[in-house]
Amino acid sequence: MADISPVTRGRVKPQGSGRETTIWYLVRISGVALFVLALSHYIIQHFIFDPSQQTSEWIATHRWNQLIWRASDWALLMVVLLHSALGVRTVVRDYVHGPRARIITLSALYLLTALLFVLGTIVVATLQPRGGI
Amino acid sequence: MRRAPPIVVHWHGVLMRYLGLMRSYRGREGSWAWMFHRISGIAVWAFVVLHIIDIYLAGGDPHAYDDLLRFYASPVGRVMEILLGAALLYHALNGMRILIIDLWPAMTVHHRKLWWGSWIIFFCLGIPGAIIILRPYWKDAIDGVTGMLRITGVM
Repeated sequence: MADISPVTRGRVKPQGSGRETTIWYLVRISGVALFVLALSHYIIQHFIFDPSQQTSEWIATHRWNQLIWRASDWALLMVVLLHSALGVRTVVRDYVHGPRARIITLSALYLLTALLFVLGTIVVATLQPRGGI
Repeated sequence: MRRAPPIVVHWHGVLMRYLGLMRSYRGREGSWAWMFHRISGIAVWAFVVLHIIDIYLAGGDPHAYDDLLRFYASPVGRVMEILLGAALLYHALNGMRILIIDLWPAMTVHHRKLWWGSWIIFFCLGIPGAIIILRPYWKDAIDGVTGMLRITGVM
């Protein structure tokens, strides 16, 4: 972990224009997007609404009653999966050193991320009120 | 003749090392910032995994989803939501601190002020947020007091 600033403990930008530099930028850009998307999602779910009212029927008829809400939650899904996959990748690379173990761990991470993307996309695209609209 | 250097034990460093969280301990605010950032990041990621599966159930198994939401609305569930919010808010604010220093390297000399500033924002937003999440447990009491004042003609 020599590539961490000794003072502030942020990751130092890698040299050159390779994959690690691209990832360094992607983590920061997606982080700014999540500052807006994730915090506003938390405010909506916990402060504006309350978990006691959030049944599956309520999501279908109220929370996701317009395309903009489905689109913004789908955007949050994609950005959070990108940011968390890259973040956990960094953690794995810090602690898992064997080449074989690293390939297995990272493959599991990417597989889980892809699966979560599919599950989230299915529900945001298909959830309908049980009575139909 | 050279004197042997004194032996100094950095207990915080020893603790961090045994927690397996840090390999190059240098101490002070930056190290705590890094450790909290990593722990909060993993915690939020774990919730995101759970949350995408649970929201999938809203379509796949609505009754299971509604049961889980009843847990989320319970006292234990609400305390866990406050902890989730704390991890999310810390990670967001410290992420901004890192970004400010990345974009504006001259701010490095002020990194401790940025760190303590982020904690001030954390508590100013977090404490009211926690009180709002716990509203089912104080709203009735407030309503009871105002109702009593109204009945007795004080209000």
